[in-house]
Amino acid sequence: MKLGLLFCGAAMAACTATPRPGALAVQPASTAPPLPLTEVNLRIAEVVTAAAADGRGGPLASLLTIGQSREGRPLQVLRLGADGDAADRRPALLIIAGIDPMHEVGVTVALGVARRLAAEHADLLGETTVYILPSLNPDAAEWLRAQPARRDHSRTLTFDDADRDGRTDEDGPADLDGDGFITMMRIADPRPGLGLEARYIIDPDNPRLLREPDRAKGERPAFALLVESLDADGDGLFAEDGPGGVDLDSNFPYRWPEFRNGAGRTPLSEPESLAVAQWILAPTGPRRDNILAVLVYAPGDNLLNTPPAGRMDDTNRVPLGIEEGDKEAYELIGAAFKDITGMTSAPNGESRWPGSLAGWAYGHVGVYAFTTPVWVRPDLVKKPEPAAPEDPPPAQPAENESPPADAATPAAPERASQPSPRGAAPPRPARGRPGRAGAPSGTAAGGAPAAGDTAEDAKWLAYFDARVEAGGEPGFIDWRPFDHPQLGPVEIGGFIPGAKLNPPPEEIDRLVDEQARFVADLLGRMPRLILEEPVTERLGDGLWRISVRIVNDGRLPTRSAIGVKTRRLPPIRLGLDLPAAAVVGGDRVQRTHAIPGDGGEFVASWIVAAREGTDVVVQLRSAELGDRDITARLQENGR
Amino acid sequence: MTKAHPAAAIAALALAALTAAPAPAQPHIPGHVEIPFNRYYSGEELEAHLKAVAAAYPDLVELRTIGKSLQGRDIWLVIVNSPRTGPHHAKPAMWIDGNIHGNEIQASEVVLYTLWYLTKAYGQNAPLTELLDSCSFYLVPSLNPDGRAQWFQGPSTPHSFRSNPRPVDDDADGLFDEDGPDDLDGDGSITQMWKEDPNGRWVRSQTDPRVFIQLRADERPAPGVVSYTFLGSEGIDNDGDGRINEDGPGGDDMNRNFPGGWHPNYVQWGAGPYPLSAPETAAAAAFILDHPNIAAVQSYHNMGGMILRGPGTPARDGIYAGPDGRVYDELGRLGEQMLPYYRYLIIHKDLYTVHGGFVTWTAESLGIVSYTNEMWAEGKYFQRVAERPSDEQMWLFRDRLQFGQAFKDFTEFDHPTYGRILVGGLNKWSSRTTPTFMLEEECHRNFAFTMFHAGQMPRVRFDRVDVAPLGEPGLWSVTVSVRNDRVIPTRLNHARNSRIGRNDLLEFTPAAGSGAKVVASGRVSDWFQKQMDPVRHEPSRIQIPEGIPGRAERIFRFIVQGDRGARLVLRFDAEKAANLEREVVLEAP
Repeated sequence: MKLGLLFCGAAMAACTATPRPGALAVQPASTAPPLPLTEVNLRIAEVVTAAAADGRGGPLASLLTIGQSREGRPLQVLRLGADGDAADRRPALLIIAGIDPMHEVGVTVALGVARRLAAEHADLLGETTVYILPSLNPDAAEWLRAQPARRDHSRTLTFDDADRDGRTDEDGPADLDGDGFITMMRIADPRPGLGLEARYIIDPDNPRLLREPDRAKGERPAFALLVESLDADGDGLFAEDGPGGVDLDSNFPYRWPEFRNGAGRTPLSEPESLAVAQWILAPTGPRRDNILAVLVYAPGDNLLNTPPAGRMDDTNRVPLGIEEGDKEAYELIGAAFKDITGMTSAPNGESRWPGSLAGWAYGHVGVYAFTTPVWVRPDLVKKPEPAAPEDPPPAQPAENESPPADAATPAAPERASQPSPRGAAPPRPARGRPGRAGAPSGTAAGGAPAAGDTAEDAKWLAYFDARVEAGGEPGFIDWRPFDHPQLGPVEIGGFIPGAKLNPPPEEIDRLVDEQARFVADLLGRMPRLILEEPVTERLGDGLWRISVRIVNDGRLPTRSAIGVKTRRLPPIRLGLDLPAAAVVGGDRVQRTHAIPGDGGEFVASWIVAAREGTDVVVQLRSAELGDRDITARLQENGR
Repeated sequence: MTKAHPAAAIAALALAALTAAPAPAQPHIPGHVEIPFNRYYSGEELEAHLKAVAAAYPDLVELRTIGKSLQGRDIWLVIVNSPRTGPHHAKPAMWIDGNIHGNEIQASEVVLYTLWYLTKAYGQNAPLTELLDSCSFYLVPSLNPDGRAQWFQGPSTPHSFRSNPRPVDDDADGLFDEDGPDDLDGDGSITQMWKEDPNGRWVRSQTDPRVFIQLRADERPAPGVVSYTFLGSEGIDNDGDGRINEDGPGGDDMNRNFPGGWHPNYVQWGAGPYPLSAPETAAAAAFILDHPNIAAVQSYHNMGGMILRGPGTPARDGIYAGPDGRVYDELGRLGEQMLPYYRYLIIHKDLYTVHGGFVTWTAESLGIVSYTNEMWAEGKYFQRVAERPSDEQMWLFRDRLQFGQAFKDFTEFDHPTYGRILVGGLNKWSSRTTPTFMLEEECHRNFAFTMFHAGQMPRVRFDRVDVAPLGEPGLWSVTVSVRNDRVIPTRLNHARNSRIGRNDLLEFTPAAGSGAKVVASGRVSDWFQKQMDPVRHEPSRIQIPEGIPGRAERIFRFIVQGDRGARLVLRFDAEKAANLEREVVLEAP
């Protein structure tokens, strides 16, 4: 807890110590700026050195470098587990954060979780391993940090010609009014000749928001909406080809959205995504076969929104969501998550699944994969109940102030109502088809805000208003007139980039606590194989039956249904160290693909020809759960 | 990247020689290097030939390695280009590769033949000289040098060493490649094992003891006739698990390892752990992605006599619909005529479903007209009917035309599991490979098809440039026709729709100090139309996402403000065509 507070303090200090030029009315920024990479590395190193020894003479934490970013920054993985490299042979959870550089809370919480696990869960780390990759997109994080204005950028810094005009990154967003934020421009009644089409009206219920007009009620469109920008290249489009890049979370091979803007030229085209794939699946050399689950801290959620089960793609093999056989595990783990975090709802993110890291981890690597945004708007969190019986609630967030007005209404499921959770802006070019990148600027073809978005945005406004009233930081900049050199009079304003993704710093402690408890819960569910004493029976002179039972004493099955389907790893094997000729009955090596949790078992038995008193070694082999040998002496022992 | 410019005089001499030479006594082009194409070449021999050709034609040939195979062999790439007409990357280029499947060996000889013939023909043969002056070639004779080496050096069947040698645990026992076939009789081939067995269901033919005949279910061997059991390919139980040959060497099928519709092993065997996971496929992809001037792709395989195009799955049929499909059909149908017993087919419809194939990647992800030729058609054994010859005919072919070279006599072997057995049968040369005495013809016809394909890469010119005063003094109308004389458009419809690659550009730039200014521009549908469809922004730089279609012109008009006599530069810039540049003077016709 103390350490968590330290984190928070550092984040706040960093925040206030970074004055933004031109930012008058809205200082300080609503969230801490991204941690500098040196800071991330420093904190990783701190965890490594501060981690208790494992009691067996080895450190509990160690540092692996799995590759480099495009600009040469190390991609570091913190390994938490006893006995050094032996940790690589125990069932493991991999946590990845920072895939979206806007999602700073993920990085901070991942580091906080690391510290908590090392400090408080040495027991779990003797049986299971946790790999934490806290910052998968360090180049963009550093770049964002160096920007004079806070802006939306969820990608790598790979150059690209988004509008296919032969110029690269020539027309990006710009902080025209110099307030330190790149937000939106709304243009009333755009004059003909600009090539802009009015598509929106001011929402009468909430004049800071725009929505599409209801033609049935005689409403007429009056406003065009653009990202705050100049048409730098004079092609009539605004911010259609800004800096970067590839969306790492669209760059993985699972149902790769090939022609979507930001998906990359090939799957794994980025050093960062490739490093993850190579590390886990290494075509040659050691692989990370012991990873049984992946947890991604990123916008989007599949813990509260259990993915659809049993639906397949056009090959009829690749699940669109999850396998029917994994539904129960997802529901149980989701329920635990809900219980621990109190979240009642989270932005779904189903549209993010194709090409995503988590989708790939599930559909191709074949392990459980979860995504959580870590933080959601407070009205989507159940209010803490007074005095939980045995487990006193962790330090409650300081800002236990009265919730925003509309948080009082029972939180209706928000799923699918917010396809772009950080969506400050409907016409954000980030996720359309490649070509659409430019299109929305004039016509907002990319993402007209549906009524649902407006409702969601209204809740965000209410939350930010309440936060400001309580002395907190703003999340929205009111529209203010601006004389645009190309468009004439416009208004600039809108949601602050990243404000919908990142909590105020004082909530970090609570989030670290929740996520650490969830990770501990997940580790406690890992499958655990018990290899029982072999049973030998004399069938005749020199002829014996050997039977061995293995029991899964954990909660989860030894392998997910998708893992069984992918056959990426060999099954669990029980074999004898006898020559083939001595094994008279039963395959010398007997196999099972998955043993159910909660006491599920597998029995192997052989008939062997050997002298009484011979010691036969029974070999248990499992890619995920490790290897073990036990000796059976051929004599009548019964049980 | 560009080689030093050769002296223009040499090129002029070569052309003079071409025009001045007497009519050749026979249609044969002598070359500096002689390579017989009535035999096959191991990887080392192939490499020696590449180096010899490169040394003999230093102006035309650049030999490079684009990477190393898994076992550290060079992946050779040959750039064939005529530098006097510009660097290779400034022209449309054709990529031709072979042997991504290690056992499909003639796929390398045909690429070597292409190099050999093209280089010796340059300056000697007018059509090929003209072709090589207008485009360049990227040739990769073997994309799977490890597989080729295994096929030649190690024992194999006609079908083995298709994959790369990456160890894979085929039998899911946690061990890798621990029990492959073994060349028990030491003949360099993996043949078959048979055992005398009173309960066997096979007997040897009365007329030809090399032939085993399977008994019908209700049939018993005649009295005195020995029956046999078929024991599979040559091999022993190397890992002592009671099974034989269940986990052989390799590997990933690298023609399932490309992006764009890639699916992992549980959808399709051989895919590899992720797209481009093999060093060979990654090297090829990196080069191709770096060379957007590649406008045609040919990949060679065996066998079946097929000119294949994508898609590999029905879900992607739409990519080839419309004008793009007509381009494929036109080239493919002509290929059928040039290649007897070959058929022009669609991969998923006529062959089988393929995810992550190479030509489907270049066609569908990169917008390049791409074919796979499956060399050697069984109809060619006797060249009368398209079907596979009968078994009897095949023995006639092997005995009378191949003089028994595709068969290994049965010999006895004491097998650790089965005891005394017979080992022998058809060897690795007995199918899939073009019989050596027919190899040259097959190489030539395929080579000729690719030259036709290369010749259909977009070739654009300013067909007509009309300058006219436009009423007001100082206003001019400049109307430009950009014509593509070839079948392949500068941008496939699919490339335009899916935003692959860069738009074509037509730029009209006033010369420095000319004082002229482009004030408007647009497209016109024909030469008689008075009104243009104006572009809204940046009139001096017209974006042409749809490109210039095959064998068609597109007409553009610029309205220029400037004094009579002012000069401007007109420039057409496309990724998949040589750029055009031309000066235009504002003056009345």
